[in-house]
Amino acid sequence: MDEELIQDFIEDAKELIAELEETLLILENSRNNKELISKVFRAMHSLKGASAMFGFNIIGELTHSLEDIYDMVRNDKQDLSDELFELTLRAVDHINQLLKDSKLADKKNKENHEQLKIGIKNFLLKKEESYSNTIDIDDENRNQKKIKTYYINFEPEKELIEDGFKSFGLLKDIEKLGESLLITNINDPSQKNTGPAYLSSSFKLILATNQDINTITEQFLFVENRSIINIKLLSEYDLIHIERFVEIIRDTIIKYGKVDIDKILPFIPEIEALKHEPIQPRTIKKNLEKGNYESEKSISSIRVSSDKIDEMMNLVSELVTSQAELSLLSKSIENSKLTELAENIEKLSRRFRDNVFHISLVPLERSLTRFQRLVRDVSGKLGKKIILETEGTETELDKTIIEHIVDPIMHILRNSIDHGIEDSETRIKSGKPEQSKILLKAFYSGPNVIIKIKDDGKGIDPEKIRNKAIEKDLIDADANLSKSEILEFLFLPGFSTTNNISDVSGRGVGMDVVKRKIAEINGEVEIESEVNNGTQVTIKLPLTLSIIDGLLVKIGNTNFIFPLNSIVKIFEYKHDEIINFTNNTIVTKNIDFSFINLRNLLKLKDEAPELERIILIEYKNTKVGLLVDEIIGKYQTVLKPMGAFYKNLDIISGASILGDGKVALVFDPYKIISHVKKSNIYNKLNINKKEITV
Amino acid sequence: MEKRVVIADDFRSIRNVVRKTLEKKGFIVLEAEDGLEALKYFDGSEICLLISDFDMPNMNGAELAVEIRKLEKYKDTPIMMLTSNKRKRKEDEIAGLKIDDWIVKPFDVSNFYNIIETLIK
Repeated sequence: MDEELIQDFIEDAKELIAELEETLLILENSRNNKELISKVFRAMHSLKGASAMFGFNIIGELTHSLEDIYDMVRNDKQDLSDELFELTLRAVDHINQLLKDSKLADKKNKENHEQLKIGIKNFLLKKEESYSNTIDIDDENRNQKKIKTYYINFEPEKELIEDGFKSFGLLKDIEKLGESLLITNINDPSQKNTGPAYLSSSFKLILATNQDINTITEQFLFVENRSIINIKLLSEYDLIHIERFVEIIRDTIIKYGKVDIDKILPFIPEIEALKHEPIQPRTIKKNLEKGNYESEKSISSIRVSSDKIDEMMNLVSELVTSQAELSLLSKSIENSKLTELAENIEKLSRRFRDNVFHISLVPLERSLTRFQRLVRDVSGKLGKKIILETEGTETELDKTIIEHIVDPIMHILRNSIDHGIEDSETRIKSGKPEQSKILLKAFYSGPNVIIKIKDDGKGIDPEKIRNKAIEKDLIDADANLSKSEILEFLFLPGFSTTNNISDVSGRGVGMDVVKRKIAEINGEVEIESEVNNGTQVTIKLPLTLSIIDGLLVKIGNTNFIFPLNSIVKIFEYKHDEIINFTNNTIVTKNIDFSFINLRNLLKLKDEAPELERIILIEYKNTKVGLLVDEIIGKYQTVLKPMGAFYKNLDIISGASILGDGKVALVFDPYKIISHVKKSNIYNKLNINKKEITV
Repeated sequence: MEKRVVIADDFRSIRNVVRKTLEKKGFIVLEAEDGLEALKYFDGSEICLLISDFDMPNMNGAELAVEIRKLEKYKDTPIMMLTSNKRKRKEDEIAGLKIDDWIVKPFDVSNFYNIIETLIK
């Protein structure tokens, strides 16, 4: 068969497997969800049929037996046991391998394959033995299948919100029970919050589910004493898939500004009469959110291989460089027509650049399944009860950046589960809930994306790290370091405070690797921790890597570029005035800031001009001025990585080719500051040392 | 005259195989992910063959066949059902329905066209 068709299949299969894995992980926590079960079955079924067609017979075989098992689950002839989940997930991992190695050429894959086959066989054998006992229960299950519609109103008390309670997780749990319709109106004047934050307080929801009312009530277990909860059976039928019902709700929102359930109740009999005219489930939610009831356009997205996007990115980079050349040329020629044209092209290429850039953005949630899976597997292995909660995973990042941060995040999670979170016994003893929680939260912050990973484990004792640092002769016994400075040691290679090695995360080493990996994509990582309360790792990432808006400056004869987004203000000063400041601090308009003489830092030997400029940049609430000779202007630039020889020059993040063919170095202003700060610390440390040895 | 064929299968690469095979023979191939989507193509326009997977979300192959047979224009349009070997009993379930041929997945693409040719005549 055509190689291209096979490649197509592999891609489709990968996507299907990823979806399957995600479905399995959700199903594991809501095992009665019929819809998910048949989704798993169908995935197995599709895989079976298709893989054999494309020469992956071995996948066909494997999925065949799994399909049989899930066919039984679907027909209530088989329970969804932990064992089955374990088996299925193992199979899913294995199938992923088989896509690369369809002939089982790799010995490890072959072994795995045999083991899995035996596992499935044994599972089916055991099943036959126990089957005769399970028939009675099946009938009971069947009665629960019917989908009913409920109205849920949830209003947390003020105190609960003040305690930091967010109903988002709760809402998600409830939405998992079936098909739901969030009818909280963001324009409701009784709810002050607008935007996504409204999710942090009350909500109203219509839920169509086959679960009974007790299961719904259980979801509110932890908040029921401190909130108003109203759960009402609206109908014995599934109303959510009836268009008229959605219409009535929308009309009520438009008319009254909110959904008052009493206004809807009179319509219920009328709606129930329409129950055999379903609409497609997926479109409901979207429609209500947008208030748009026109049917969706048939094609909303197409799939493009990532190579093509990379190629497009490259072309845009070239275009941006050429455009810069054109701008320079038009300035030197001073022809009004040419200038106009150049400006136009600049505008267009900027828009084009932004567009392409957005195309290559991928939401973080694409990697979420891998994180969920890791937490599930590792915590299971260690016998700890841990849930991974997520917030803001719809946050989008450049796909190269996503590719780079998955491993570091996995590593941080592994550390948390293995070293951070205590075992159940210790947790109960210290008054913590047995189940611990890791929160993974992503959000935009200016030009950056922040990802926080926070656990509620035992935290890191700064004293321990301090002692270790002293032991390793990194600091003196009486060195005066802040807590965050102490925690910084965790990022040093080979620095570990755990004495026991576990097979999950080794010695907990590897934070240096995490830091390095993140630094490779111009990101930063920071640890905060409180003993007994947990540890939080914060990763700060740039939105994109390749194209930046910069400010072109000159120091001596050399061109440099600063990323524009880091600059707060630019001042002009006479050189004499500057060197007269004794403690390298400038006071201006109520703010004072220290400054760095880049000429000295870079060891340039020429003389500074009479009039110098200070570029004021802000970093971690500190403002720092950087001294340059001349400002040339705004400059859209393509960041090219430096060769291997310059890899360790961390204050320079790359180079850029200017329109006239000259090279400009691109500064990483934050790194300059931390570079200077760090060398200050080490200077101090060295002085301390000398005093002691003397 | 244009020869239009509808392929309904929830797996994209299967649709691709069918489409590429038939396009080489000059057919116009209309793709659908499930029965509901496929049904939209049966709007009165000329369709010379439906190739449909049996198991699909939203509306399966049998349900789709029932709907199509209800339409006067497509009463005799050939329907070819794709299925996996174990679905024999499902065939019985829809015994009353006129399905022109069953093809068991995995099928041999080179042979595939011959079957189609006989159906269309």
